[in-house]
Amino acid sequence: MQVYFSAKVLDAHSPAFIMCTDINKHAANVAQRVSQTNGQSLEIVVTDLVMGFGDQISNKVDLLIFNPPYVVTPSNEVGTKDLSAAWAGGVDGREVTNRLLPKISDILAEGGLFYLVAIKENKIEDIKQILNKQGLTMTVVLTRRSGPELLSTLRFEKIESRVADLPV
Amino acid sequence: MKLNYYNYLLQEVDVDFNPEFIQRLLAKLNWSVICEAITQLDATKDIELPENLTDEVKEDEDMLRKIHHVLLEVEVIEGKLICPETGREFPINKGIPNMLLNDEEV
Repeated sequence: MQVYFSAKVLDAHSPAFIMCTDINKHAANVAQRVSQTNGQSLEIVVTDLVMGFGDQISNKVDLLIFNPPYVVTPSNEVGTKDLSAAWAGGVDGREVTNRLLPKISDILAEGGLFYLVAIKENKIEDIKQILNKQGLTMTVVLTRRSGPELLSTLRFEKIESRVADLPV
Repeated sequence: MKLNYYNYLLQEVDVDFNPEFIQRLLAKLNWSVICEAITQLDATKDIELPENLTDEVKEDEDMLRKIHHVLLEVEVIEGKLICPETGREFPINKGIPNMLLNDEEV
């Protein structure tokens, strides 16, 4: 649902090539049905994060959006084949997010943006430090309380000159 | 990883042509992989694409329309992607490829 909405917003401005991934094939099928019903074209792939693309997406993505399973849960609830894969984030709610963070700078094109949804328990300052080390700068776009969750939308930008300045 | 296609069912769709969009997309593609892939699909194997993407090619509207067609208007609905090195098959169902490895294969 979120994917379709983002796609509609993007496409209103100028055409975009949009790819989506999900580890759960039922979620993928639903995303496709919603987009088709509403005349929006999406390329959908069932894979674990970006693993299905190998190095083909290196330096290619202009906009990366990630709504991870961010709920703090026991580690053994992470990455199951059932619906809990949609929310179970393990220790600090970060176990899935942590697998994608090291790849962000490589995936993004110059000037590329990465949007991440996070809750307070995910240790946002720590996420910021990890991505700063890759030369990415963070802005907190929005913070909102929803029931027990304090949610933030974080935006990270890849600026090539910063990447080049990093100690080797 | 180059993958070989095996298509059971293709679908051709109409997508509005936007030349600037195609030009921007071209910058992101692995062109040799695209040229190889189209030889494997029934609907595109007779389409000739230039080996190199010269500036001339990128300004040629007829060529951009051909590229638009193969990139955006031909979809594999049911089929397989096959790794040429391992023979591992990744199914495509309802247009969605499944790249997950089974537990035994990880």
